Amino acid sequence: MRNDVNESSHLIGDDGVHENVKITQAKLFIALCRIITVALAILGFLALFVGAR
Amino acid sequence: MYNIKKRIYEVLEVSSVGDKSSRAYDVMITAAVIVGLLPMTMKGENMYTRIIELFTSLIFFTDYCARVYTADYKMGFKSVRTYFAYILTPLAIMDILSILPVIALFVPVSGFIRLLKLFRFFRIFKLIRYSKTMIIIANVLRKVKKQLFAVLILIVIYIFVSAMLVFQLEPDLFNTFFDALYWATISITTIGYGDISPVTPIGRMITMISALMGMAVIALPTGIITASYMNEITRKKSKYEL
Repeated sequence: MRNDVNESSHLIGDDGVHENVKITQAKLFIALCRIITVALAILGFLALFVGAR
Repeated sequence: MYNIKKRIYEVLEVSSVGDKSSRAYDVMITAAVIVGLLPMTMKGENMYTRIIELFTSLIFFTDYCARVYTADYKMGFKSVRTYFAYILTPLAIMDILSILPVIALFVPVSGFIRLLKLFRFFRIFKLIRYSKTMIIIANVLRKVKKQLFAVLILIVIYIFVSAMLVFQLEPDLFNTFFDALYWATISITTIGYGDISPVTPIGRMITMISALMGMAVIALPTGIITASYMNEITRKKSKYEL
């Protein structure tokens, strides 16, 4: 049986499958933050470019 | 048991080593602050500055609500008063002031609304949370605020006295008392633009005394802050050495 690093974040469903809910949520949150950061950078660049014209 | 409120608090606070969620959030907020200040570097507005204003205000509003929600963890005790106490802290007040400029997007522009747009500069203070140096400086200023306030009162009194003297001695030079205050401030801080300068001997004598006094008085806050900063650094150093 494989030992995962953080067993307290594991949930066992009715069919016996292990789910790592907290890690999935963290990954989604990090992805959302990064998408927003990139969107802000693009908007900032566009605003500067249009404002400078 | 997984405590979501505590986790939100950990993400909102400055990231600790290994906390990728908090780090991603810190980077996002820093980007929002920097991009949110860009409209202040432009004369007019365009579609993108309006979108930036709306988008960053939404981010800051969400951040503010999350911070108020987790105020009990921040302040260290659970009570209804905690939330009110947090709302009245300086950083929380600056957070809410930095959201107000979004009103200008929905309300016809008038004198007051135009002034609201200037509140965008409060967003820069949000970065204090993410800089250890800025936190040290904020602590230093908090410790010496009484001494700084006393020096500020001294400077204000001196500016008023100089302004009143010169306003009476050279009435042709100044249109209003505010011009005299402006001159006194520029003289005492030794900036000396030269746009307003006395012509009578007594007026010039007061200017010379003002400049000499100014060098001493304006240096006081610098000395107070530097001494306190050195004490803080020494205290932190000895804490780590123990």
